[in-house]
Amino acid sequence: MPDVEESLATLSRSSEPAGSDEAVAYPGPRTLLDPPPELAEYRAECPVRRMRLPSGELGWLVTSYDLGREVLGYRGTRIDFGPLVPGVNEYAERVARFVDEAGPAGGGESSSAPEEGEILGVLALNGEEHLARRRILAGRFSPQAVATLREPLEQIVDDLLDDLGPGSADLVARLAVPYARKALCLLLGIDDDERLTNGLYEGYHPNDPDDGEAFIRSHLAQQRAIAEAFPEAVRRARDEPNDGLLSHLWRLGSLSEREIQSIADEVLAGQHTTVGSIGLSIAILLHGHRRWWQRMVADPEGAVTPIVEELIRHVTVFQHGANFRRAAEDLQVGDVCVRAGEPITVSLSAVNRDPRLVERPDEFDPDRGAGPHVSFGFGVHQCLGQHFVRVELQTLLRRLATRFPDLRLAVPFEELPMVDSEVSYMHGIEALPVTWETGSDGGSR
Amino acid sequence: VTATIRVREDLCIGGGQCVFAAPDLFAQRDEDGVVVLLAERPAPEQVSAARRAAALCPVSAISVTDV
Repeated sequence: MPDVEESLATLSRSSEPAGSDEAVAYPGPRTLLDPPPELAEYRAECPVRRMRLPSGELGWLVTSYDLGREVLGYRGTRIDFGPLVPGVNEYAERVARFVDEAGPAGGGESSSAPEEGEILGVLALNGEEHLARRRILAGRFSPQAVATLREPLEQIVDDLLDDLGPGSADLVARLAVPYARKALCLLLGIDDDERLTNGLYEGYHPNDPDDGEAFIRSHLAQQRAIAEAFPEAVRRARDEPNDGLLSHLWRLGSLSEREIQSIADEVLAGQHTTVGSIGLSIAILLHGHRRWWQRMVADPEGAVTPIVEELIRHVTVFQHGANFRRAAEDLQVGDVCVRAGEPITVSLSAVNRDPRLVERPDEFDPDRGAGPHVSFGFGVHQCLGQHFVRVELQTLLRRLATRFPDLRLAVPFEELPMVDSEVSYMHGIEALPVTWETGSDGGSR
Repeated sequence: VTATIRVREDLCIGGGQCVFAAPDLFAQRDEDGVVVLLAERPAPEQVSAARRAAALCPVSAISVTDV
């Protein structure tokens, strides 16, 4: 695994010949509906181009369907969690300063924290190790396995909808956040616990120092709460086994407590993307494409599957995925030679809006179909939880449309507060105020 | 037109895309999610679903060739 110096050495070797091609900045900003407009220009002119990462390092940005899939699917790249994501360096430094003041997030003793350089979960593994770990988990995340969770998920949604009260609510805070958390607790086989909420939706605005500080404090408090509650829940799945994922992993007998804890951490982190997906999906259906909402109200069972798939493509919550990818060896990508060690980012948003993937890619059109989109990535690291997320979204939208057919946005679509796309590589909204006729949620349960 | 489907178990990560695209042609082993090919020779009306499965497979473990 080349270290930073080696990467930098590679960089200085390879930057000379490609110097004619000016490096672009990391893409952004975007709008609620559309990714940064420059991505379409890049795709048309030069789908693999030099990009300067926020860390200052030079890398490559891939924006076309063909090359994006090729790079993501290519075994000659590897995942390397380096400081490549915008805002992360600065954010990490600020967090570190707070940690110095307030003590470690784990509250001192943390037997499940990885040692330096140790890789325990599944996301950051590569090669044979990764394949073996994926196969331990794959059977639990298959379409067939997650279909069995449909009824309990429906129950979770219905309970949350029962609690909404009359007339109006913020569906991010009151529905998306608790649903995403409860759904993952169900999958893991642990009791729901509010301390396990893991979301970025308090809003981090780096240019506002006060806001930034408040965010970091709340984010750290959140991480501490998780570190306090989660290991106990993970051990309980061993001592009082059930049908959930964690008890299954304990039963295998081949994984250490720290490995199981790390896998659980990665599963729980799925809350971010799910919350982003839910908020934006509801907003899009209630906004310009209300006819799709109406179709779901009329035929929830039949309409929801293509609608959810197209929402997943069109929204592309994980915007510029594989942020952490580096060439493991020299790679030919289109007419460019990417040198071993160089960072290479595939913009999933750009790939999903390539006319080679679907016709009229900027339009939301479930009837056209979503094509082989890359919202869950592609290649060996493709999202493990994707089939679960589909059932999760389908269940939520079906119940919401059935019980709240006249649901409306309470603010103009354009005014919905978007998660700061300068910082977050995940798309989402921080709040979703909606209204409905009180009493319209009749006995449709 | 019919076709022959081949799967590479050694590459399979158990992503379940094939089952998602063509549940009549593919299944997954319970224990590790690895692909199980249900029909090597799909019926003519199943060929397009088989091709969709091959296109969706994130590790290109499925090939569909005309016969």
